[in-house]
Amino acid sequence: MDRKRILVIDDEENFTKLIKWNLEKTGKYEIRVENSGLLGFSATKEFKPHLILLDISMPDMDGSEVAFQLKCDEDTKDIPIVFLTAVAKKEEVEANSGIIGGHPFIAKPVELEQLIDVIERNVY
Amino acid sequence: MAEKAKILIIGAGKCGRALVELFSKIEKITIIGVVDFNQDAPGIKLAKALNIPTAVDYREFMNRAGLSCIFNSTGKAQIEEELMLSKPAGVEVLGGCSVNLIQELIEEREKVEQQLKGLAERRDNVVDNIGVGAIPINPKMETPDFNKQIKKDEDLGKKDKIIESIIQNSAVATFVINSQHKVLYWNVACEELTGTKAKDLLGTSDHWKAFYSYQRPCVADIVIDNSFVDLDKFYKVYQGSTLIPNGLHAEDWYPKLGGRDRYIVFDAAPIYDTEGKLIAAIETLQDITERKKAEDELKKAYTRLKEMQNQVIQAEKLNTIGQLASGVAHEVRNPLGIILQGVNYLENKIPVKEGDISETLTMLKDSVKRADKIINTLLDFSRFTNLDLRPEDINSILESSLSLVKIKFESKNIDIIPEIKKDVPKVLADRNKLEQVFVNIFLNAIQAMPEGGNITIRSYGKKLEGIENGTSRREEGYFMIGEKVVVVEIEDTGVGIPEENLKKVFEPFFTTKGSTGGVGLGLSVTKNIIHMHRGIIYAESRFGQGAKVTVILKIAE
Ligand SMILES: Nc1ncnc2c1ncn2[C@@H]1O[C@H](COP(=O)(O)OP(=O)(O)O)[C@@H](O)[C@H]1O
Ligand SMILES: [Mg+2]
Repeated sequence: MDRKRILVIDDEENFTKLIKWNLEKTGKYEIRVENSGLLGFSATKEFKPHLILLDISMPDMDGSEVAFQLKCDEDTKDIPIVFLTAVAKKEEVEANSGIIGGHPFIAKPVELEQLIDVIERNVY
Repeated sequence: MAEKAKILIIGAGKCGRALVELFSKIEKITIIGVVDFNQDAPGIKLAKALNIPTAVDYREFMNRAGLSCIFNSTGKAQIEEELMLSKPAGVEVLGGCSVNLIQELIEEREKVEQQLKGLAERRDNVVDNIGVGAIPINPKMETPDFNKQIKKDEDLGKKDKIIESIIQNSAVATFVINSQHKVLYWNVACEELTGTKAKDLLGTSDHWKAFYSYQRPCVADIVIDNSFVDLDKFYKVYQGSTLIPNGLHAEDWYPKLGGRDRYIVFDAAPIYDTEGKLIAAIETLQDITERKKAEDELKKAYTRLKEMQNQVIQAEKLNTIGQLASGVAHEVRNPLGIILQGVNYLENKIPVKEGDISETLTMLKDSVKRADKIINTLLDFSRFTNLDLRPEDINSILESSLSLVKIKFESKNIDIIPEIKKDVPKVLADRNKLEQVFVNIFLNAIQAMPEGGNITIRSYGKKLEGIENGTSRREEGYFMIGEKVVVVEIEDTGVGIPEENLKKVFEPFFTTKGSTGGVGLGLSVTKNIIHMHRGIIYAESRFGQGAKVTVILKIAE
């Protein structure tokens, strides 16, 4: 079976590096990493990911802005996005059934197991 | 005797002067200072004549020990806000309408006292030996001695016809008792007010029955007995007359007086004969129920408003902690995320779990979780987790918010133009929090129109068609295109907001009112509350031509 393409957009380089190693190790995913909102946005069109892991607070273009731009574009509007954030509480994520602004939502720090679980539930 | 209450009067115009005049006569009150930048203001002149300290800047008096109340008679809301923020704890600030009301009451009483005086003068011209208060006596004319008359009931009929008709025809409810507390006169207005007929009282000492269910003195009786002690037992509000020596003023609520609840103001004055002997007392009654009710309403609204302002400051403190907490959360949780992923990586790298390595990894994971928990608790402190959401009618929330700031715009030249749709769908909202929102927006609009103007309030339901001007992407995520929403617009004709500030006005501590005591918290709290409701708020303006604040809220399904 084809490996799913996952684009990880997060300004924490160490975090994205480890995520890439961990997810690729499962053999199920092909990972591309971008460390800025702007680069992540332009990478989307060429990489055509099956899902995007998107950090909310980034310096140049924040995650919600990236999501908005993607939603406006015919080519990218249907790509599922999973938000990552360091500032929401786990309970708040649960209270919103893991959805904020129409997108699923993961609070950092996250365990690999849980991350894979959320990806699997949202990728298609 | 109890310690004197110390008060400070700010503003020495007509109203300020009236306050100085009033309070300087009340024994229990000391005016510690009168403040006006205009040292020729009438109140300043009066204060100087009375040896009361004066100043140009109120701060000179602010921290005096024992200061209990500040009267702001300037009518300036800015000064009021400045006072609210800088006053020492426990000091009351009265301003705006409460002060205006006091002045109105004073003027009204002066009118009545003028009437009384006029009455006395007229009587003085026709009757020689009866004087009210200090009015001189003309000894020539025939003497209707009240005491003699009353001793013989049959003499009642011979009372001086002129006095009788003056009292009888006065529109002010009036009665007169002699020094034995027997009723001499009980006029028509008094019958009307109390519902008790003169024929049942004349010649008796039963006048208390018109007011009370048990026997106790009225103000006229107190004046006759000249016993001004223990008045607290009888009246909540009383004071010596400001016009007539040995006169007495009191007021109180009377349930079912003449068929309904009334708030009555009593004034009594002594009447002396040629030798200066006290022979009678005259008492007037005024029904000021409507005014009293209005005043109480205003006071209530004023107290609510003060509470609200405190809440705003409280909320902003929480909000600052909140911002701090999210900053810390961001800084700490990102490294925690890296550590956890690193641990996961190592777990997968070491297929055969060696005892001490796997124990080390578990320790690392536990520590990450412990740190994460601390961040969570910190966030707990900062979040308004307890929104009390119910389906609410936005128009009624607007109405009650408006009534809270009524005092502020009524004193200015500001008209409210409601353009409210009747059948607006209900919103899911925390009523108190939304009231706070609209109070903030109204206050800003009022402050933007120092010369007066209009505030237009619109509310309507609609389908969200697209991205509204000036919304942030975060807010964008709260709604879907086509979703039904409720929109509230509050538009003023004030100074407006320059384009470059349209977003900044929502930031904490952004204010252009530095000189007048603005703290720049209103709109930042407002925006937070709207976001807690997952709603949108933004401002539009053409500089110099007024501003419009729009709030978009979710409807209750
Ligand atoms: N209706 C309005 N018209 C003009 N300026 C306004 C209006 N509302 C808000 N502002 C501007 O936004 C600033 C911030 O408002 P706010 O947060 O309520 O704080 P404050 O009223 O204490 O200054 C004000 O100082 C003012 O410059
Ligand atoms: Mg304000």
